[in-house]
Amino acid sequence: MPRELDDVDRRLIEELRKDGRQPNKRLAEILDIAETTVASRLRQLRDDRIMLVTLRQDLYSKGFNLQCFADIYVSGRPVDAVARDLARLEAMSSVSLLMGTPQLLAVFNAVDRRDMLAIIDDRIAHVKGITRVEIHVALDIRRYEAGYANLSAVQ
Amino acid sequence: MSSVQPVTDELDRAIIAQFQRDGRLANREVARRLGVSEGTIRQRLRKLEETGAVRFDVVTDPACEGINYVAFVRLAVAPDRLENVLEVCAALPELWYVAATAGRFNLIAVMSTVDAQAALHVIRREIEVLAGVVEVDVRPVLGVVKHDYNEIVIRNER
Repeated sequence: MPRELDDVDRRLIEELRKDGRQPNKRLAEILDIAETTVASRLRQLRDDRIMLVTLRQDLYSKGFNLQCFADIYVSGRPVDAVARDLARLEAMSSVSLLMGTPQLLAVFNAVDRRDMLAIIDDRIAHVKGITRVEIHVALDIRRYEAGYANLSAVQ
Repeated sequence: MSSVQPVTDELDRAIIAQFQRDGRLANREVARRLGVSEGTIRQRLRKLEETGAVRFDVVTDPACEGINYVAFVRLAVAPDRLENVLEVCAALPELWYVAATAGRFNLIAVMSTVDAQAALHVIRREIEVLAGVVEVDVRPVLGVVKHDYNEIVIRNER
């Protein structure tokens, strides 16, 4: 279970949302607490995997022109094992467990159509236990900006 | 699809990798690690940010923010209404991913809410009522095996 955040934690996160690069000294002034407190709080939030300031990169600037959603139907093998194999594929952006069928929903990125085909026919097809893959291709991404992630679960 | 150019320069990529691991690293420290000047790091970062290739961001654990329910929302929308539905969905605060897709469904979104009741509220009050929405498929996420939280879309030209 995640721990409860106190008022100082929340105000720190709020300030960092405005500008994640603000120096500890300025954060200390704004919150009216000691600079050492800011440093230890930030370290604690990071170590507890509650908050991370990071540089996020645009999908297209990574060279990916195609984002695909794959409904994965599993049979004859534990779903968790299939999910782990899929997660190991570099092209996978996310792998989520669902209830019922499809058992998994995987999102992957491809450079172009040839790359997309290789991911489906070579890499996904080689994962044992997959009986059916149904693909949706994103044609026009209007919004993509998640500000949270299960930081203790991500790899 | 986008005006953003792929980042191919080795140094740019190395800088991005450093700040992805820790966005609070000082430019001076990254400069030392990569064996370049602090000014170079500053200039490169500024250019990457200005072109919409990267953005500093805070990522938090959803549970600590009171977010306990995540679901893929997939819609079949009448083609002549799709544009309108896309615009409305992209403006809903609970939907942080919205895309037009090719396949059985022509709109896929990801929704995060406090709980299932709040999700139901969004689906019933905000989405099902939109003209042209003929099928709504909601797939709650019960577990996340992988999630590349560094990935976003900063600018998208249509």
